[in-house]
Amino acid sequence: MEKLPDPVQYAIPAFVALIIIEMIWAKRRAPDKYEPKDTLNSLLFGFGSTVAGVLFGGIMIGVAYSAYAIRPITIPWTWWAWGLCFILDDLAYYVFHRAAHRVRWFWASHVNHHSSQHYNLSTALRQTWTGFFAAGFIFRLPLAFIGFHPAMLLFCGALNLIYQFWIHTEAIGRFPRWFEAVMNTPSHHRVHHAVNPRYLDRNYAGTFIVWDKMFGTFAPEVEGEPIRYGIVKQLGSFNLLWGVFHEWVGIVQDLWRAPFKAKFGYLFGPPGWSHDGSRDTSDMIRARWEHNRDG
Amino acid sequence: MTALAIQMAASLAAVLALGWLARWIGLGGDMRITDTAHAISLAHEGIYGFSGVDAAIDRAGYSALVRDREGRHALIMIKGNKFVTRLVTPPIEGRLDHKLLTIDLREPDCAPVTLNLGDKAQYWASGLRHIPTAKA
Repeated sequence: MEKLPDPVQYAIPAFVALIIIEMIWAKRRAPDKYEPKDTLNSLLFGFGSTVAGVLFGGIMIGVAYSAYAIRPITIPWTWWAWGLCFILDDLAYYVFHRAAHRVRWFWASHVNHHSSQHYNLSTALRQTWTGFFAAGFIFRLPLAFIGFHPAMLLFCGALNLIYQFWIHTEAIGRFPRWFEAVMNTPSHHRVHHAVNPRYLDRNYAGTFIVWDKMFGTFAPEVEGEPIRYGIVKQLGSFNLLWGVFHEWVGIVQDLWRAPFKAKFGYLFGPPGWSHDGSRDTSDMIRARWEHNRDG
Repeated sequence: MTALAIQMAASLAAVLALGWLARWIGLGGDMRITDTAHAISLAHEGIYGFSGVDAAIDRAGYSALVRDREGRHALIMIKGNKFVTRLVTPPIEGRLDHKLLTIDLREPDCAPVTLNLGDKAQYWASGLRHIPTAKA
């Protein structure tokens, strides 16, 4: 029962086919939705992330099995457990993802996914190389500890990842209201990738958008306001290694220069935090935007 | 181990093939800064709260300098078919060569930018010398 296939491996041909279909759509409708250098960059991010997974994935699995070994109860391998596992794994993803935007340590790894100024299916494959170093997997450990088998968790996590692939597109507008109310969709996720002040740090959901609605982080896509994608301080080049490591380099530089009392903030404060107020966090940008909007 | 190596090689080949396909079918397009209003709008989008009042656009339209009321300057640079904006902060490394103004932001991901500003180059180079200290 513990030997399960990796669904991501089976999904890869579909990923490639869908990217080609979206490229053809872009060629006909909006060629600027893709930029060859950016696309190659995103795909190399994805390739590097796979290599990192091969090198370090075993550590994550080992830690999950260690947590499972001290479980107080064993959740059975039944249909309802699979459903419950998927839902709770999605909640764990929401918590991880929120932390990945609000804590610089985790952001240093997750920023890779957001550093493209384009939003297309190749952006979905723009994955981090340093996720294992940042230890983002700790957010899923409680599920192993309460008795979900690590193989079940890995399988559900992979399904979640596959679900999130197709929502990285501008080729799809909106779905019927009932679907948009429950599920994460291209419209909701466009908001998440936006740098418009009204959208900063919103819509952290993986599969179910209901978590954002429950925890007050939901923002709908507003018609008539063009979305700008990327990060607040856009990268100045397509240098792959700089793209992968730039925030880690920034952390090291800040830790080196900052007074002792401020070092914790540069590591675990929100991205953009500074001890002297010389930089902006997304909260500060949104507050200014709201102030201007409300007159 | 061999299977893994083959899988990795196939993945890398697919990555390069998709990157090549994007170029081959002509995706991307040629983006330029069209006029002063466009440059001011890009500066505002790139640095929230930056309200430009004047701009100098490179002749090719690939870069621009925008100035706000307080004398701060934003440098707009092309990156692929998008633009990247940076606040120009002292100490400034700039070089004026007739109509060409080169600005080096000394950031690891930003190469020095040379703007062909024609007759306005000297005026804008002079403006850079009076930039107030501002947020990075």
